[in-house]
Amino acid sequence: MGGRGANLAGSGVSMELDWRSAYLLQAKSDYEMFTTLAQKEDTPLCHTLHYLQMATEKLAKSFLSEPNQPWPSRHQAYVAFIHVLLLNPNPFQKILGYTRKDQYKASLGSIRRTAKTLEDLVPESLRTRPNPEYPWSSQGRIYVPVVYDFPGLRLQEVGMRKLLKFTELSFVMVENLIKSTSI
Amino acid sequence: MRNSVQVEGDIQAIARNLARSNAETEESIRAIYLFPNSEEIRLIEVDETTPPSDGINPFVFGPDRRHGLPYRMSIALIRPEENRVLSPPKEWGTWEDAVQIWPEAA
Repeated sequence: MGGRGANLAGSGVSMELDWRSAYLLQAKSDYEMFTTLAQKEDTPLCHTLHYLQMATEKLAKSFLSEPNQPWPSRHQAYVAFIHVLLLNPNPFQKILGYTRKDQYKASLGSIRRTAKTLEDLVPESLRTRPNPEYPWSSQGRIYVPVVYDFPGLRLQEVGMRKLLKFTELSFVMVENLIKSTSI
Repeated sequence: MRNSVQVEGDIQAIARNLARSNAETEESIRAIYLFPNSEEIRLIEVDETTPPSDGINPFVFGPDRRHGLPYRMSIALIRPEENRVLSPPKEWGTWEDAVQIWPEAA
């Protein structure tokens, strides 16, 4: 992506898109919202994480989906996306710019741990674990997203910024893959 | 009212705390450099497991007063083989302007 955030290819409602391109377009917009919120003063972390979780989920779905079929209606996709890349160093190691396989595996392995924490933010019906949208309870205590610290997911933490860097590289990779297979 | 020297000293102290905290929680960090500035915290972190880059593109985050970070932050991550090979953002100056703040000098 050029600079921080994504450039939307267009905003027409009548564009003819396949599912992969549709997910990617929405993912870019979600990521733009994430970067806008992250750069604002004192934005509660829950709101920035909400957009980042949605952006990464749809980015992954744009890679994993078939052109003519939407991804099943579950939120888990980003960790699966990283897993597919890890299992297939050829060709993705080179596409993502890694010169050595051990670097590629160590890097994606490290990013996958943060991705799992991010993916687990999706609200579940029992409301017993951290999520960016609804209060939840744990061990008799009620927590509220807007004042929760989300350990491991603060933007200043190195693990989070590695995930952001990887996400931006992945946007470019997925967009190029979709273009090359659409011709 | 604080003067600019106090503000810069304040930013440097906060940057050093942030760097220490990051290095302590991420064992793949090899070095952290501060590019002194009176308005924002500018850091380049050298990390063994970060994805490769073709340039230094810092992530920009707004102040986070709730966590004791009252200044805007621009933080870039690079790999060890990119250290002092890639150029810092133009407005940051050159590597000659960088101060290594982690590991701290004994």
